[in-house]
Amino acid sequence: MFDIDRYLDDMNIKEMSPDDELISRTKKRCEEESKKKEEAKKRAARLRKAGLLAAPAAAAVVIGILIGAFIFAGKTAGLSGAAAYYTVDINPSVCVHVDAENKVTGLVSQNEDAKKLMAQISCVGKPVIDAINDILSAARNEGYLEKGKYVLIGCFAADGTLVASTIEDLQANLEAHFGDMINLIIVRGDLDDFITANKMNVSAGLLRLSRMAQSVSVSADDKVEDVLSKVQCENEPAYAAPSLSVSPDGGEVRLSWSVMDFDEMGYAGPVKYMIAAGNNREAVAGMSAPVLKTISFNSSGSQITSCSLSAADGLAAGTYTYFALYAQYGEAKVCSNVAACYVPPEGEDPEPLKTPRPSYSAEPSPAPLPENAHTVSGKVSGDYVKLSWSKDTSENFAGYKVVASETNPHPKYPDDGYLKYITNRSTTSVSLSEDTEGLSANKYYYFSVTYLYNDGSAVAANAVRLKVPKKSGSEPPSSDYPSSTISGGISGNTINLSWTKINDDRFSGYKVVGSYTDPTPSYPSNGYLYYITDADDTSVSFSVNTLVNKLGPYESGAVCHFAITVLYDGGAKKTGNTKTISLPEPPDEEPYASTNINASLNDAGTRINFSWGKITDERFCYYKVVGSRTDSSPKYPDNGYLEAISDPDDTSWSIGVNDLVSRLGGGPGTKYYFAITVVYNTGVKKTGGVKSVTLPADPEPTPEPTPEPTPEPTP
Amino acid sequence: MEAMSTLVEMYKNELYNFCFRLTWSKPDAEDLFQQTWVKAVKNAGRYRNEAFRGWLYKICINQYRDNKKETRRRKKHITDDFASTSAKDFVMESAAGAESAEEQFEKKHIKAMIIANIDKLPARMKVPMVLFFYQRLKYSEIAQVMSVPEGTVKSRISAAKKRLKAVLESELYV
Repeated sequence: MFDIDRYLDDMNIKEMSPDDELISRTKKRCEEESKKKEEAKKRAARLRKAGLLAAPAAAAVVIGILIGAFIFAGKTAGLSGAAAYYTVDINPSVCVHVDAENKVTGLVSQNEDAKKLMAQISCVGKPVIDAINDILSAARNEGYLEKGKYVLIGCFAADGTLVASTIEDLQANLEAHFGDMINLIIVRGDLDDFITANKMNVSAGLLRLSRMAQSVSVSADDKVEDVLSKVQCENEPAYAAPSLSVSPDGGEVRLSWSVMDFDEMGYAGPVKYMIAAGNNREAVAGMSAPVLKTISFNSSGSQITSCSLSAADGLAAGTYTYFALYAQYGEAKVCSNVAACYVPPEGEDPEPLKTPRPSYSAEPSPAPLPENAHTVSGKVSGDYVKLSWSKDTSENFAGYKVVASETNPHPKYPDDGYLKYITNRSTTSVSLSEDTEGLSANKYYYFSVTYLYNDGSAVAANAVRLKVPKKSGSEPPSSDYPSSTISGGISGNTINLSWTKINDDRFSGYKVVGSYTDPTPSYPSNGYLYYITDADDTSVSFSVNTLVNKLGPYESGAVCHFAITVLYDGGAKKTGNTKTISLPEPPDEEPYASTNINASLNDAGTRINFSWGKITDERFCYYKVVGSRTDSSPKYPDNGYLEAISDPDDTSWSIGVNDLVSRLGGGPGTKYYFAITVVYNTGVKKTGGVKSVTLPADPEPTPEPTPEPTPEPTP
Repeated sequence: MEAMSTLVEMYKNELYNFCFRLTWSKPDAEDLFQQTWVKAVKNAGRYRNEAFRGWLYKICINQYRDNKKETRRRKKHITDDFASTSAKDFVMESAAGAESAEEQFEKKHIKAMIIANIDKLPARMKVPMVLFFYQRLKYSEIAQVMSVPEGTVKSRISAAKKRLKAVLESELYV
């Protein structure tokens, strides 16, 4: 018998010393990493201030996600009518379409790299978090994710609550799986951002990122790092100003502002706060209003966070006045939000609010309504709810968000999502009906409008409660509407479709429809491949892999029938001819192997030893050892697992009987079934043959002995 | 940074030896050594009240596993690093006793074979073996750095020894 302990206990291995050069190189790398970390911390603080970054996780890796490029080679992708879109931009760039349940309905590759990547992934039907996880895993496996790589994830939805609930989980999940590897940036936008980006042929995520940073330009060639670098350069130093609030206090106005964390901001030195006021909002926001009071202190000392102003300081009594705090940090000067209030003459009590209304941001509720009022009125007329609102007169105007809520009597954007986003200042009314996404017939809603401004502030107007009527009329006869004629063909693996343009004022979109089986496909019966809202955009090209992603796999010799359904205002739809295209041989997929388990009880009856055949497949992810005492065909994930093994060379495992009994229940005499489920990085799971082991009925399994006594060496 | 520099000095020998005994390749050990320290700096925010030495080991083990996966993923053809490194060169002579020179030579040869076979074990067995027999950590310390119960450490070492014994017996006595 070979006495291995004799040798192991006497194992004495030569001590090595690292080279001095290695030590000095290591110290240098540590120093660089430390600097990088500091910079990342400052950048994260700046991004957070700009609202770009989710709150930092406890672990404090820089988390950022780039949201999605939507760039085809010279082609703009249309909307598919999904409830939300998540863009993942690593380069590869992928867009994930999800339904209202946050389940994936389709994946769209945005560039060639993504196409290769997507060929390995099948995410349709999965929760979006799992899908994004799969995408990043595949990107990692393909070598696209290097240490420190920026990954931008963009979340775009009409209903803000849909993505809001996902982002936190998504961030936690990605941090857990990739936290040490990537710098994650998550940005969030609405469908208008998404559509605008598509029209501009730029990444929706990058566009959102650039807009949030205000003024940074973005082009189709930009990558995440490029935009971040611009954010840093163009906004440097990106110091933030405190958040200001004001309130009338007798004949004075009381101003107070938030305490600043200068350490986090990365600033040390003298701080000068200048309180500016005036009756022109733009002048105040543009840092050109007269400064009425100056406060100085040092960033390392105690901060002053409030003051009062009166007529003696230059305030014009009896006027509605805008205030801002200009903060000067060294050479940098930044402006706070603009706050406003009525300045009462001395001795006059502040006038009570005429219209109580919710306000968003630090914008206070004014006393007498200022000239730039925010009021909404509405009525039901025929089949429609008609809303009207006051026109905004501010130069800083960005848009109107029409919002509705069944339960919130003061709905506002972004808390309650929105129905329409109108950027034309002169459009001050809208007709809504049961056809409007988010509204249902015969239900009461609180309707309101949130006014958005370019400085990031928003003001919610009053709300009106109205019942959405049930439509009485039927759709106009479809013969009134022109259809579009489709043509096309296939070149290699690329399908090219084009169709005739619709010149009709009522045009609202083209749905490109495809079906392997239906020779006359149409929307909505067959779903759709692309949704294009630009009447001039009359062609689309996509690969066979994309088709497979959208419609599922096809067999050799298959054809696909394509058609265009034209959508018109009011809900009319018109489908034209069908173009049938013979598909090439389906993309090959290597078969996935399973492996059979061997299971046996050791002589003492205290352990069960398992072994199985090795899987040699690049896509291998795990062996899951699965066990059950009730299911004679156990498999992962249905039966959970006893052990997960990520090393493909590691093809054996054992478990103590007591441990097995405590995990699966049962006891002496119980029969257990075991199998190996091989999990592949494409999400495919293959379970091999089952082996059963029955524990001896009597006596009770003896407790597992202490493993072979090994003398504890002296460290 | 000064603190980190001091820590590098303090643990450089122990960590480097551990890296070398996991990889048996000077370049790989140097990479692992450097990666471990850089990761320690990067994750300094996660360091909680625990023994720094154990935390460092933990980082090194995780990095070693990542590197192994990466190597597999890239399907990089690597020569058998252990084979190209003469294990005999790293096995120290036992304290001179009653053993003859021949016996000492044979013992050294067998130890080199054991080292070679430990190197071939799957990571979940190899790491505790290296920590226990080469680095001389206690079971409780290994349990801490591997984040597994002490009993699991013991059973993995026991299983590894059993496997080694079978291999060595077949190689030596056939």
